[in-house]
Amino acid sequence: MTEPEVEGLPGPRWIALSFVVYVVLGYLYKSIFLNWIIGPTWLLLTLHVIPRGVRSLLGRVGSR
Amino acid sequence: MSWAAHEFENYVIQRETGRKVSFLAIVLGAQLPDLFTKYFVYKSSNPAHFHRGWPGVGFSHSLIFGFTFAVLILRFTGSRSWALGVLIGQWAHVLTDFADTAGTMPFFPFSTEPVTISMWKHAASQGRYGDAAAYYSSLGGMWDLFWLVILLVFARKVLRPSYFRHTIVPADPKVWGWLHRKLRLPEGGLILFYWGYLFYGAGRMVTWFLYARFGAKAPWNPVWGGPSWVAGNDLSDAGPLEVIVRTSIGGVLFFAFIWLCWRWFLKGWWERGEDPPAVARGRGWRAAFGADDDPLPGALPGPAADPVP
Repeated sequence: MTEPEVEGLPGPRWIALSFVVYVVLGYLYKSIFLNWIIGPTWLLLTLHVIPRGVRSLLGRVGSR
Repeated sequence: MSWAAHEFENYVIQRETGRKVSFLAIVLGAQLPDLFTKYFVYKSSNPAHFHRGWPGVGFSHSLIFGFTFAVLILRFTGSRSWALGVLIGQWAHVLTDFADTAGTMPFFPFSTEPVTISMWKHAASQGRYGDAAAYYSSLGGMWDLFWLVILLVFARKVLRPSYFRHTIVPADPKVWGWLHRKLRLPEGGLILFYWGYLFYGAGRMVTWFLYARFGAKAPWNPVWGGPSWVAGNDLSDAGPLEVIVRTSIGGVLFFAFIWLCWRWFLKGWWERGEDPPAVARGRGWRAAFGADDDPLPGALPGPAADPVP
């Protein structure tokens, strides 16, 4: 089956980058990053929520 | 205990259940045994016994614990796919954890005999970091890797966006729809959340392995019953025959109990339960297994379709 286009889904390079950052931060700050809350939501936070927040912020600054 | 295996196996199970079981319920079920107990395990004076034995919280690693949660979910929500998901996820956790030296009591309270194949040492006595270093120096780390390979080789289709659209969402449209609306997540955001447990499992497997090698500098000892530098902590001194007899009796009583519950009240609750519209549930084994993940009629792939209700 051909994979559908999906709104808001980043490419594999971004996912790989997010993984490397997670491993590095997890190694340095284990109790903060290697837990059941941050761990499973890391992808969503770093590749969707934070970029959306930054874009929204930049949009507001740009419109002033 | 197992670490990332509990994340990877959820996706492998999902491949076998298709739309009949909620993926999020499998995840919840797989986390249940450790969710309320793990913090206290590391604080305990005898972590292995407290975690897996009785008296202690070892009942959380028994089949009846998942059964109880599943029955309550069926009774109070009427959702068959959530009840089955929690049951299957929790039972998978119990069956995975009997690979370490502490084992699990699958048929508690009918048998309190721990069942174990002693593949690696339960090392919670070393504290959280020491436990991680021991686990990723033993066959435990290989066990995680095994499940990751199984997932990527035999179940990788469950990671495709089309699978998410045609199977994961239709199996649990209410919860995914709620996440879509309340958190204003587009489909891509939902897929990132769906991939999150695989990401977390892989991330912590790599991170703790690196910590074991370069932080703790723990000797790598992937042999049966390793690592040798952690003291043994078997919870029972019973011989193999004794374990088999006690566990067999416990198993017979446990399944007789389930059968009685089914006849007494569970069958009625099951029949009054509900399924999402896309679920075609069979009888017996096929009530939960036998993936049916063909594209739904009308749910064509493409940006124009809105797969999330």
